[in-house]
Amino acid sequence: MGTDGHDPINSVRSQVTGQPATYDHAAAGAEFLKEHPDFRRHLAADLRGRLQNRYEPLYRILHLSKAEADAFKAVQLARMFIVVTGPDGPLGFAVAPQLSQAEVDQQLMAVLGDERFRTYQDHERRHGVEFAAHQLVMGLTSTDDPLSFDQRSQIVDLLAESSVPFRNGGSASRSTIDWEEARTRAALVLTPPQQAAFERIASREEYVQVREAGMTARLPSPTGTDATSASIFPAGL
Amino acid sequence: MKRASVAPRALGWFLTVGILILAWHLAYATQEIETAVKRHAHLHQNWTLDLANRFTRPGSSELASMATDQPVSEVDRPRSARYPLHAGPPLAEDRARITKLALESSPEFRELQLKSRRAMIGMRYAPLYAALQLSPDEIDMFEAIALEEQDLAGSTQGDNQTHGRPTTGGSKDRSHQAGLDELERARIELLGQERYQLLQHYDRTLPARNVVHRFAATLVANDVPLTRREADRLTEIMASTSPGLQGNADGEKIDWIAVLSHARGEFSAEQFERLEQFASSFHAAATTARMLTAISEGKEPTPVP
Repeated sequence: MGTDGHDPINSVRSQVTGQPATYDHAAAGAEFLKEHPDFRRHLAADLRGRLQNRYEPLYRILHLSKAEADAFKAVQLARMFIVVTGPDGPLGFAVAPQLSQAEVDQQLMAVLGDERFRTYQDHERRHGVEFAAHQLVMGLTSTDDPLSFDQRSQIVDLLAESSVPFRNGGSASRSTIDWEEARTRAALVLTPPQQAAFERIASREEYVQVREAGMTARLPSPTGTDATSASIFPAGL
Repeated sequence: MKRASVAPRALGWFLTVGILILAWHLAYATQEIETAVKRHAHLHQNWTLDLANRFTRPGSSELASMATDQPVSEVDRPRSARYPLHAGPPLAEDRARITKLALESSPEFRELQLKSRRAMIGMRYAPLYAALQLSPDEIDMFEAIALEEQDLAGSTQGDNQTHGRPTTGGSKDRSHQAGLDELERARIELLGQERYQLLQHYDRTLPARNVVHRFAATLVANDVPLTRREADRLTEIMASTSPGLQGNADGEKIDWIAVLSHARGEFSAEQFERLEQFASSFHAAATTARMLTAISEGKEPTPVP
């Protein structure tokens, strides 16, 4: 669901349920938030916490001051929009006035400056693989070999570099990591106990990659042709 | 004469083709609507699931990640970015069916899944392995027992994996219970009584440990990491002050006031300050998740459960 208000599901829904296609879930959500200030307060705190968790490594990489980090968060908050479907229809929740992507980028550039904005954009391209570094950090807590911040950054980098779309200038994602390549690169960065933890994540992810590829191959197409003939497994399996 | 007979024939031909096209469009549109409504219902269902689990497991989004079998980043991304818009994500029953078929038909896929399950057990128990100083052989045996236990509990039907040791249920028959008892005996034999008791304690305090690990992850960017001893200590504090924290859906049951009160003085000033911030955002997240679930069910989102 974009901030442009276009809602394909809503338009089809209106055909089926008879609810007017002009139903504005963002307005309905805003009204709901007005009537439930406690909920709004918790939601705002929740969203700010999520932004903090997501961008804290970036704050350090960019050497942001607290004021800059707060300004950065305020801009990012303007693109957070949550939709919940209740019995009476979808409600769209935003705790800050919504901005278009172009407006967000413009404001972030004003906060960060050109060079740091480019670093931020590069960081965003790596976001799709950060989960694995996060899992590794958590997996090594309570051990004698915790992951340092530098190691964490190296893991994010090597996972991104092990992804073809990233190397081609796009974004890295969970489904595009070449785990064999990542293992080789990680061996240069991690201690043996850390490598054991990395291996667990890699094993899990390789299975998920194959399974999800199979799921996608089996999705029904809009023309009604079930792609059952497509192999659930990549060649070689 | 000839011209007069061609006109009605052409008209009839055009009408037939027109009706056929109209029928095709109607069928196509109906199918599209059905697909979209199905997808919509699925989105709703998954959103509720995401919310219910988002803040109640090892990490903010790890919770949803584990519950939905999606990684952190995938959970945060819009679903439309992950699946073709026309189709939406496969429905839960479709996923289970497809996975079951794949497991039955491909030994390679079974092998991958087995490795994945073993990895998940390892992720869960790695701190325990270190604390008990288990040898590689002992770890291998420990994980083999856990896998067998999962199989016996029927927790791996389709792809509905559990990530640790399944709990026994009253509805299971006697032979099933006997099988579980036997595996428990094998575990005791492997670890010995003393280490087995430590395992039981570890399992009891695991929900607290998961929260602590999530907190620890937030410290990495600040160069004030928790040591193993500090992580263990905070786990003990949380487990003892928040007895309601029994499972992964109990995020709101953490008594943060008590946790902070006990933790004061046991950690560095910076760590403690970060813990206060973490407590605040964790509580907000857990409360919001519950409130959003209430909204999706048409109930009032009350701040206190």
